[in-house]
Amino acid sequence: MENLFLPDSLANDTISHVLNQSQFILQSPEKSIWDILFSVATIVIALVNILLVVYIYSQNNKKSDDHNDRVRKLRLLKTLILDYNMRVLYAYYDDVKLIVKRTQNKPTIEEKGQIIEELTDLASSYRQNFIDLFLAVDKSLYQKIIDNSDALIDGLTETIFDEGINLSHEPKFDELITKRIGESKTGVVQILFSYSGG
Amino acid sequence: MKVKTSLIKLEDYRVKDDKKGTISKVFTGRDRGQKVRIDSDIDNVEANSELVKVIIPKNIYSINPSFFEELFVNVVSKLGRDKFMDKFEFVSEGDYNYAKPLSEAIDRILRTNTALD
Repeated sequence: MENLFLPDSLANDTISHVLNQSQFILQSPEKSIWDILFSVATIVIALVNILLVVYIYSQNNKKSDDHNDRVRKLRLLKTLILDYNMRVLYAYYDDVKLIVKRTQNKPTIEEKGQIIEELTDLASSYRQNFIDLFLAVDKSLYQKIIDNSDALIDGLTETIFDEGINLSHEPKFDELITKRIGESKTGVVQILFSYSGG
Repeated sequence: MKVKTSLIKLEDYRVKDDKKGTISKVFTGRDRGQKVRIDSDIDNVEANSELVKVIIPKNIYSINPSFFEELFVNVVSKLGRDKFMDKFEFVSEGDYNYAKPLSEAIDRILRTNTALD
């Protein structure tokens, strides 16, 4: 830590210099006003130096604490959540793909309702088994992932019930369904990848 | 003095496209939920009523948890699940079953409120 702030020897020198100057002022009443001002200025500079040392030391300590906290959060995220639960994420998107494939067979309104209900159940299970875990690490991380999940389910709901969209047309299905699912999955990985623990 | 029963008709908050002559059959998204919460003044309505009836119109295909979550976030946080379910009565005029998405929304609100930051 010695390279981060003034070394002890320098601090000791500064303090003894301040004491010497104080004694000098007390013992030499016949000195001119300029000598006294010079001595006072030296004392002030020395005191500012001491305050600066204390300030730099406390700032370095604070930065070090913040860094350690971020590292701890990242380790917890990896060991408690990602190592065991990434498979939940991939399985969720595979299941979503499987369910929405049925929209290519020109489903009735009731069948569409059934598809959305299954998607909502799946999203609820995904939330409980994957997304909720992030609440233990970082609430903003949880919020980003659940926003991503909601955007997917809401987007699929609107598309599936839009009577003007023909999802049995393969390119349309790819554009509005497959692409959206892929983007959502990439989005979650991106959120996790960009998390720095802070 | 509290009002005995207040009504919140979701029909009044459906998205209408006058050009196309269409009306939305789904309620989705937090943004929409927040808008309905503000426009319906549901937080004050709850505070000044003994019972609040939420009317779900006919021809509704889906109401997603994201919408319910943002619509009820303050009243569920204030009342908790049981008191909310006692005070709010849901009436579906069609055959849409709102129970699962509503329950999911309540879970999410309460889960977030009790979690550690």
